[in-house]
Amino acid sequence: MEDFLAKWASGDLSENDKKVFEQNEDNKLYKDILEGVELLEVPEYDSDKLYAKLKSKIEDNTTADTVKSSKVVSIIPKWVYGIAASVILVFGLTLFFKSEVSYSSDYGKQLSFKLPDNSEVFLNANSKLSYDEKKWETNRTLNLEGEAFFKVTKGSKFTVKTKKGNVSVLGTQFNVDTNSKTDVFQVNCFEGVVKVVQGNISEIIRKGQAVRIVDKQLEKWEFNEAAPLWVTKESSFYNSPINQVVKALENQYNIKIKSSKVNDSLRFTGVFTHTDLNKALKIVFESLDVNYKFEGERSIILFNK
Amino acid sequence: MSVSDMSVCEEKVFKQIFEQNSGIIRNFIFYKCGDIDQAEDLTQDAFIKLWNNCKKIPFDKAKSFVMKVAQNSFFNNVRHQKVVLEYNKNDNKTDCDHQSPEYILEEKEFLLKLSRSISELPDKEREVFLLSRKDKKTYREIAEIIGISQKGVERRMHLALKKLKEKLGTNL
Repeated sequence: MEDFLAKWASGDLSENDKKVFEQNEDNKLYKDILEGVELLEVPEYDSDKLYAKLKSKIEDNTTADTVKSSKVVSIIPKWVYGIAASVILVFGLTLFFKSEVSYSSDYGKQLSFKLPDNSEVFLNANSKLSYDEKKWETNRTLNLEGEAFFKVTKGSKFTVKTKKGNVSVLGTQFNVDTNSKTDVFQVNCFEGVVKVVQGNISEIIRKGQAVRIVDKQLEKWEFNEAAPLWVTKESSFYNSPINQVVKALENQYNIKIKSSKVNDSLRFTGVFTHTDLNKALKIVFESLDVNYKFEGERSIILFNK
Repeated sequence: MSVSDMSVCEEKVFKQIFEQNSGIIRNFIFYKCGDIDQAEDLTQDAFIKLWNNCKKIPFDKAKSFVMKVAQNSFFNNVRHQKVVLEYNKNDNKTDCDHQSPEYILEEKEFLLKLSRSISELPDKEREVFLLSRKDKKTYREIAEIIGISQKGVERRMHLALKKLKEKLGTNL
């Protein structure tokens, strides 16, 4: 009988058949199987949870459907798209022809890259450099905000324009430091000859010489380093106005320094590290005999002793 | 309101259908594929289909509609695993103090073997066996769920029991 066991399991066997089956030696095992199944578990079922999931899915579908079927009424007349498109086209063309390449570095970060003529540029913290790629071959002109060190390959005139003045050279290495917040414009020449121009002031410097123009006053001095120290994670200063040093600290450590309470004619000569803020602050301000205090994690105030 | 007047599109009615049938559909798919997540997904999908077609489906056909949809999408989406039932450790039915440790161990071993043997049954026999023994469905109800004759269900049940006995008999 093909359904004998099924009938037995559901209790549908006749009394007689049942009695006979219970004499069977396999009967105990069958009973064990049915009892054992009772102890086995099907993963629990949470009908409410599944219903909630189902409902949110249905609602998602319904909203999607209404969005699809509702008619889109445009509030912008169609002809405006024509204008918008041509405006974009014009902008696109201008940008394309301008082909300006620009690099910028963040607070505490430095960037080094090569120009198309293989000249090398090291951009110090919080600085920006840009140039026109298309015109580069005939006109090596760069715009600089902040501080950068250049190793220029020999060739045509190489000019760095800044808001404070221009520097032009013939194959050389030099460092330009201009900071919008300070009035300092400083150029160090590490090799070759560099011409520094600001307004009426014009100065030619050679290897190991540096100039700084502060308040239309030219300062010139000599130094020994072969490359600016900031390339190796230090900043060095020679008789530099305190504002120039403060700005350099702010750029390297991404901090704000309030210096209005101290005499801005103070000058600093020395080196500070880029890797330890407390050490750098100690070196700069203790030697200047200025007190400093943290107002917040990234804010420092200076005051006289 | 007579039963035939009830609209599946009414959320109350729909929810009632869900509560009465989703558990068995989910278990039924689970017995087939052994993957509880897949079983719940397919159950959910079947009810979404019911909701989306609620105007076309009369109340008394709703149950067989979701069963059919779930089963069809299972066939279209076969991702088989072995059905493994866990031994219920919290079950108190056997908490007789006089049971010897050997007996408990034997029982545990027996249940593990039983679980494995069930997972090795052919799909068609396993789903009948578990719907009957775990969900306490009558052969008539199972026949309705699967869509075969009651005779067919009884035959599968018979074969399932016979195979389980053979497997466990030689193992013991």
